[in-house]
Amino acid sequence: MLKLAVISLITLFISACGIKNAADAGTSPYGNGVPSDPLASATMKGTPSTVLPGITYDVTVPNDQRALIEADFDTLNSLNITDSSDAEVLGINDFRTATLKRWLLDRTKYIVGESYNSKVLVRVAQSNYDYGSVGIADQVNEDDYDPNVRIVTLMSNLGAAKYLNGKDSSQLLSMGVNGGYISVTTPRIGLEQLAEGHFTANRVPGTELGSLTNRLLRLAVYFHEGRHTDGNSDNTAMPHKVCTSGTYYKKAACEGNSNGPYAVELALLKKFPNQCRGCTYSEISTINAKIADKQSRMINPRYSDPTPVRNL
Amino acid sequence: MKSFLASFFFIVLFFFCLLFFTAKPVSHVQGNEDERPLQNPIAVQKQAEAIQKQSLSVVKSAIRQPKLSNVAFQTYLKTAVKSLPTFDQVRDAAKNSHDTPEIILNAGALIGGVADQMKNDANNIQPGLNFFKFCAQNESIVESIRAVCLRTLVDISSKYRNNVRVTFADYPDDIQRMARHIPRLR
Ligand SMILES: [Zn+2]
Repeated sequence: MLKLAVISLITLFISACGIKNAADAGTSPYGNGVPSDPLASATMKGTPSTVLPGITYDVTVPNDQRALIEADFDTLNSLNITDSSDAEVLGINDFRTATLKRWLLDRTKYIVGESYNSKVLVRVAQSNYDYGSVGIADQVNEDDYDPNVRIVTLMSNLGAAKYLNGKDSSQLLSMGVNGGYISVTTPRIGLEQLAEGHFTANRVPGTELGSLTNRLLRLAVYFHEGRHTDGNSDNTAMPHKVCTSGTYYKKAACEGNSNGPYAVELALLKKFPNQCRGCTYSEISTINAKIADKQSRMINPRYSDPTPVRNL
Repeated sequence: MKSFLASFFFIVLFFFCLLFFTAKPVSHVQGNEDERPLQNPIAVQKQAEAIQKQSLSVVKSAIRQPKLSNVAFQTYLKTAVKSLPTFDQVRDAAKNSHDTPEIILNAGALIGGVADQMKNDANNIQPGLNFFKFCAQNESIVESIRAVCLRTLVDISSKYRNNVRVTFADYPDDIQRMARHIPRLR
């Protein structure tokens, strides 16, 4: 009898711990509908970008964020990068505006906002879908959107993450954008999710969100995310590597591909201090801090085939 | 009675094990060889946040007021020295490890702010160079920020034709290697 009481006591205790852990992990902010986001209320019907026609904004992208992204894209028009070193990282011959725009447009088709509800808008279009005989990426894609950890949401290549999810479960997924559905047959569907954190985390303290430096910092991120639509076989979406040392030890925040997302972002960032005309040292040095941080993530990088998964 | 004692013993043992395995903070290991002393992660994070908040207000005010008085510049330097992020602070601040933590970007802005004030007033040149040197040499500061300081030190000291010649070679290989990846300051 006493033994039974003791066992019950222990079971009860472990159960209580389990509940506590679940509570610690937090509940999904998207579980009970779209979260109340002050920026989300000011939305307009999804429309194409005027700066880069070919990119469509979902209705979930708030007006003020959309205006900032358009300004970021427009910054491409004012760039004058004559030094073509590191162009091979992106697989291009030069950093001319037209070349950079083409590169980005090939990889970015849709931008959805923070309130985009994956649980509702991502559907199984076909079960037992044949993805071919290629391998499956076995690494965690850090960009994979996790609604339980809202704090990490800055910008993510949601299309690539969902492609990998679908491939893992042999299901063809489709994603809703502006009322229609897009089959996720390749990461190249180019669907990126963007959150408010993208604007606050890429900012020189005390400066306007629309300042040239802040636009350049964000621009480099779009190219990073664009690279996550490339790669094939076990390097599909060119995922990050788990860091083996340094500040990000054990986190999937390092780069093993000399032409991977961090390498692409780094190549762009290195060009930007010279493009930051009229910027203060404080602003230039913020870009430099980001360059050094990205450089610290490169771990024995090797060139890998960026050919994207074909559209089946 | 025996079974009661045995049960009591197991309960005590269970709680002891539970405390032993849960009270200990996660071992923060950097590489295999660098076992770091255990610290209270909450205390470290709170300390980092307080410093971060202080440095942020200093940077913001300095950016709004481009030319600081000599006294204000001294205060700026003191705050900047305290705000240079350590390895532990960056690791604990890196909730989103995918992108560069704000603590790194803010430190970059602070370092550049010193260079801005040196440009504005010749009296600030030597204290500014001393700051960059301190930052580049200090082993407790995270490597990426040491590299930014070294790049700034090398370029700014040659710009002002300071008597002291500074070269990358005076600094550890990993810091100078990273600093060489940063574009030259104009
Ligand atoms: Zn990434």
